[in-house]
Amino acid sequence: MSDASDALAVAAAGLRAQSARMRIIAENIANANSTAETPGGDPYRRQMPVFEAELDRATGLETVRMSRATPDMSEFRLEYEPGHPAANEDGYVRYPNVQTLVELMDMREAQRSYEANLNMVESSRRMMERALDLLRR
Amino acid sequence: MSLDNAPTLAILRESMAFHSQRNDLLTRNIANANTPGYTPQDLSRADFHRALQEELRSSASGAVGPRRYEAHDSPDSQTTVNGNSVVLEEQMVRAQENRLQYETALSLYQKSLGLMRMAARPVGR
Repeated sequence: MSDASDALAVAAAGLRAQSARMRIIAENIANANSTAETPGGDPYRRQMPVFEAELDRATGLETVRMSRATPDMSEFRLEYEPGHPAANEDGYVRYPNVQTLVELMDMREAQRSYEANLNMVESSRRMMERALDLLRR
Repeated sequence: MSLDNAPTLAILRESMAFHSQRNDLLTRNIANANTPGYTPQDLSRADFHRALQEELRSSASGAVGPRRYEAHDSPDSQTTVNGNSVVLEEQMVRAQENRLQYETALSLYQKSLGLMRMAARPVGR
């Protein structure tokens, strides 16, 4: 019996991790055009979620969590806009290194993993329910 | 022989324990579907058969407590660049198959209990 509720706890951790990832993706998309406030400054830098397997000391279960978000160190996009408040002395504005298409694909994957975890919750729940049915008759 | 360790019930109990532990493991694999460097784990059927044989041999002497099966690495067909070898579809198929087997054992358990109940009932009722 404890196995089935362990499964629920692990799947819940999976759901939490995937929704944390969704939040990071949302931040990236929302900031896709956030430039610096000062001329020539750095704009928003794309964040990438990092997952890690984690041992839950209270229950002894190996679950998952999003440990941190690391910045994506790739090049910023440069655009020539001399009138922009964040333009440098040559008239170029640095835009974030966020590619909306990549973010969208990432979001799809997060969604799919989320659904898989949800399926496991449902499946484990039903297994538990069927076992409890033994008491009924 | 007490009712508790009738061989059929003992086998089915062992089977349910195995499948419920396997469900736990498959859930962990799916939760870690995006964890870099994670290799999915699974239980081996051979271990289960061995445990079953033991269970049958020792069923006369008394019930054995719930057994923990040893999990071993079983990477799926693809490994991503970050070293993760969980393929969501394959794990889902395994989980479904596992659930089916669990429910089969459970149904059989229920039926066996029903049979015993029927045998215990007074005649003509």
